[in-house]
Amino acid sequence: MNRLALLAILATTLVAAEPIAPGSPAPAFSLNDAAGASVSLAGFAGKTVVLEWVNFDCPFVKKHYSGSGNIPKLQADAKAKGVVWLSICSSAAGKQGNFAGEALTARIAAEQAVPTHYLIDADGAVGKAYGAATTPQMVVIDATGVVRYHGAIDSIRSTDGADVTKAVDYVSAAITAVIAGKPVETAATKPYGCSVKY
Amino acid sequence: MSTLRLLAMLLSTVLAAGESSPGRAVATLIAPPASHGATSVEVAIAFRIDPGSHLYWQNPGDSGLPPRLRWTLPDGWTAEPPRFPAPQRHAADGQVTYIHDEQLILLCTLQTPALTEGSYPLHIRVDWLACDAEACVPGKATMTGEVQIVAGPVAPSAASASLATARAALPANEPSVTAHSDGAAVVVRLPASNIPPIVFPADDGFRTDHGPAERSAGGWQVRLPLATSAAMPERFTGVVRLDGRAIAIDTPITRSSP
Repeated sequence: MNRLALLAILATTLVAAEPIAPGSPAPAFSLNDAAGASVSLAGFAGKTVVLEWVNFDCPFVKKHYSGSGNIPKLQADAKAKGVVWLSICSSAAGKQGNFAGEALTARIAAEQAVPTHYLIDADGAVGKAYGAATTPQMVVIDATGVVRYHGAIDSIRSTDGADVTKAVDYVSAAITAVIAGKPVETAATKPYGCSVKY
Repeated sequence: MSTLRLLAMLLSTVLAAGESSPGRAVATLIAPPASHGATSVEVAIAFRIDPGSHLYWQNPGDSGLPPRLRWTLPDGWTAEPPRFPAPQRHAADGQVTYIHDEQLILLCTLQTPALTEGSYPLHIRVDWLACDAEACVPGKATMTGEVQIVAGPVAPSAASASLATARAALPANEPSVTAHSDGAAVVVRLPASNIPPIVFPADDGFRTDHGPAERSAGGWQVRLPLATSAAMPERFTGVVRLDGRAIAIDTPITRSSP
């Protein structure tokens, strides 16, 4: 293989990885939460886990927080069913959406976010392991640690909160199916949003 | 100071304020006159985009959002989807998006009943997303205008010239292009060119991180893998940049290699 061809292959590989496919084992991770405590996916074995890629300053994320209250409601509903909800921020230090310390605590409160944990992935390793390309982007993992849904939060690509009630809610449907031990009807969708600020 | 100069100064102040749009782009509705008896009119939404920012094509790629047009039109009028010029391929931060910078003109055909002389009001709400390397901001504009229907032939105007320029920049149909499915991907065969072609699928189910065009049978072929979330469509539609021109593709996807 000549050097140019190798370079072309490398260049292709570096571009956004395909999101982790449903049916694949969920990559293990440990990240610090907003309070600085280490949280590990392995610690939630036996439970349904939702991963949500977040960047509070992204217009698509705002749509689902202050624009409609959709994500806080989904978080509360999921937790009421015993589901673990992990918001993950893969924004690098100095980039949009990267918050830490008291500024982060205040922002989580201002957004009325109620995840089980808000996790900081500033080196982007977890985001890249899952192929997270956008905020928001959603993964639902079953009690055995298998990815059962990966993709968009809902079916209408927009930044308008008024669209939420008209959209198909893929995440709730996936959670309901996983808890019931049924196949997830729509297991993979194309996520929409801002690029993750790696 | 003369009244005229004062007016000019005021106008320039207003325009300068418009340039620092919070949405990083300024939208304008262009509606040239048309002739009596017309059953459709063509109008356009023109965006002047701040330097360093971009708007998105109809398929934005890995992230982003195309402009959204919401018309309020006279009774019996319907708006067709806007027609986009060819975008640019933009690779950054491990992602590929299909974008427009500097300016974007969306041509819109409005189907109408047979029109008689008069003035017909148009109202449009436009929402867009403008992004630069750091962040994305939403922009919006609410615009009103009117289409004048005149008795005789339509006199040339700046508005009609703008539309003619935008029309000339639209991708031209190219019937020689074929597409076939190898199960996991679509292979598009394209005519010869000096510079490797760049393919922009209109369907967002294709992965953006496909390999480069390869020389094949006196032309090119490009293999576009489907995302796991997508089903193979019946037709391949999109745009290709080929040696400085843009061609439009709309061809059935055959199920095996021809």
